[in-house]
Amino acid sequence: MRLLLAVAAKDLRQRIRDRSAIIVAFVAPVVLATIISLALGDAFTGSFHATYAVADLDGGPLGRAFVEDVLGDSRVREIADIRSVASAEEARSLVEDERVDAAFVLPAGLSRAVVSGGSGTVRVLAGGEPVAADVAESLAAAFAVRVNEARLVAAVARVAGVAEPPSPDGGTPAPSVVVGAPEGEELDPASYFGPAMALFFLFFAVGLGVRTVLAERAQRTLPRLLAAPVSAAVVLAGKALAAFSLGLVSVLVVLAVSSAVLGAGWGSVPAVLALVGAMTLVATALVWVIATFARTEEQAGLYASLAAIGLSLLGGNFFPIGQAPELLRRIALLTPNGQALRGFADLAVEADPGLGSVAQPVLVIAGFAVALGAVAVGRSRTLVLR
Amino acid sequence: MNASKVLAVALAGISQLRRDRAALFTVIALPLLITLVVGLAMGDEDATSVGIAVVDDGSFAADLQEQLRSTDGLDLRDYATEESLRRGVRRGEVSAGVIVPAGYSEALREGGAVDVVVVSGPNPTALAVRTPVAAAVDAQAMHAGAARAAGGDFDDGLILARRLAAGAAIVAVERQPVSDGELRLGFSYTAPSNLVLFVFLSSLAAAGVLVETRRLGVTRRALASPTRPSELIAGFALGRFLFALFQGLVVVVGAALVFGVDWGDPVAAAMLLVAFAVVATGAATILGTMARTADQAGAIGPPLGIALGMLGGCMWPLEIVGDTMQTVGHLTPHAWAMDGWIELVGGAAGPADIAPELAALLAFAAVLLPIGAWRLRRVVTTP
Repeated sequence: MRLLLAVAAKDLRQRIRDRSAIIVAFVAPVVLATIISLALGDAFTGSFHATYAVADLDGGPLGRAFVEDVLGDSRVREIADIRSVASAEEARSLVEDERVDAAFVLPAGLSRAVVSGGSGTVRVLAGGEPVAADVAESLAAAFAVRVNEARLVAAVARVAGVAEPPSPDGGTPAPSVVVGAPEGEELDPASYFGPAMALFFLFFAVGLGVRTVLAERAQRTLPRLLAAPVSAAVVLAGKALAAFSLGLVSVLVVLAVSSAVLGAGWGSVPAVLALVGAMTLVATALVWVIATFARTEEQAGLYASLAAIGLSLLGGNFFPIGQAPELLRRIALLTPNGQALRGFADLAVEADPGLGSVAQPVLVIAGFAVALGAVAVGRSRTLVLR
Repeated sequence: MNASKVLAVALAGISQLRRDRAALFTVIALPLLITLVVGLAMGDEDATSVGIAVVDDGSFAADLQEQLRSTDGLDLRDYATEESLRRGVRRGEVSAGVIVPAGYSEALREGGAVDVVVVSGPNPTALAVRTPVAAAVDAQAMHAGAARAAGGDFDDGLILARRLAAGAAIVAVERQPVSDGELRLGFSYTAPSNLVLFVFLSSLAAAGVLVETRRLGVTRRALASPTRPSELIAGFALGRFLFALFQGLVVVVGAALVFGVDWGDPVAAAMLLVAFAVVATGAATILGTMARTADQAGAIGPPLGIALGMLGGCMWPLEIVGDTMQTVGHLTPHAWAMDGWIELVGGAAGPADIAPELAALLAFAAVLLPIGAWRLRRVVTTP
């Protein structure tokens, strides 16, 4: 046991002296997590705001009702700025120049049409931004519905043969659409990308430790090490422990910095430790397995990098996978890091986070670790004998 | 300066690449794979993703769901229960959610009050979602109200109301698209962003080769031959440049063939690609002379490339970040290259349209290349 720790300690000392380990395991993930947090801090909240122009060529009660009651409603004013213009041409040119997102044109004679039984068309000039244009169209549609209702009631009553159509449901309550209070805590970029970057670089941090086995094999120091009265298993286990420790510390440091400096939070320390511990196990096992298949250190490094990039892409380390299509979200949950990121996200937004919140991801990741670990142990002979 | 010697040094540098199959994969397949995955994931950003949980089992509720599904601008996702919908909103899977409560259809039939709840994340997108939902609900209420007012059988009245609705309209709404410019995402964004990212990354990764070459004493032996230091330096630089150019061409051709990306005016595109490749060469040369071991170069290169890519708008469009970060981003050559590519892919006419971007890149190159060459000379000629 003491020998195992001695081997591990020696390896760790070597890693720390090599500046590349410091860069990969600590500096890089912290820098990248910081950049992401700074850049996406506003973008995550996805604030929607639009500018609309309205040309009221009608000037009658209907036109005024649209401008004052519909566009003037406080809820609409919260999400849109309204500009009044004098002509349809002016409205159109504002949309073309992208100075407004859309424009409403209320034709002349609209109010007269209501009285005399004719009809009119409200035009919505839609600009390039689809969501803003859709909201504009919906506003106009909602207005049209209210205006058309009385006429519809009269028409239906006439056809159905009802003698005196009652006035439309002026006093009867109708379904209303209510916006509820914001749901829970927001998943801020730091709470998502702190773990995302930490876990991405975990593979590289662990890889540095594991590759030493191949390096020592190439430099012929491994046979000498094994010639000592120490079993091969202890030597390899010691190296694995060093790699694991480096990875563990790396992730914890990045998470600590994300929390202290960038304001990330996951609520439950035991839950975070469980996720981190399980992920470090699986990363160590994976890189070990890759090393047993590689012939040289460079090859191992390259394959491990490709695995890290591939898993991170699929698991959502580079972009919030929650917003991706269904298929990609399912694939993400097939990766250990995808499970871990889901665990971190749940911890960040749950009202009462605890170990139970991450029980499922931890178990899945541990499952991966056990499976890969078995393969790693089974193939470790090739590491020594090649 | 002997041109053939320079070329020989350059080609020697990149011939190693041909034999390394794993490196070839990284240069050729990886950027295209990433473009594919991210392009698919970004996909339809035009629509706001909205979840819906229909608790009511009446026909009006089902109709509302279908109406919202076919509404432009909404990407509807179904959730089985109210709780799973709220969880989906919290996790950011959808920007907002709609809960159609039990009793909705009945309220419309009988004329009662009921609240359709829009569940929001802390973002104001929910307010924008409320509008199309309210429009759909209002339309249903209008038909139901008319059916009720007509007396008689409600369902008959409803069918009548729906049939007459169009003809009874005093006010119709007509939408006219004005501009045809769209916020281009999907492959039109990920292909250029991966082009910029990978040309730079591959160049930095190749910097490690330079370090190895020095360490193994190859450069000293090369100087022992009748080769002047300046020829050696020019050869190294040319080799790195050709490699960067090759990486760029792989992405340009690959994305055009596989994803149908239209890179715009060929002359302007070629100029932009060459300009950025020169900048990447300068940066890689400097890195190659500063790292002491290949491992160090390998440790600094990728994170540096990713960091610059993030700042420069290769991981997400710079439009979405705040003003400060946009300015900071333009301290990187990546942001200028991305600006240029977005112009070209968006249909710019020719080199004149991207003149500012080209000028900025040449400015970067004018600073990085001389420094790289100077450092290379010092490193190569110092024992």
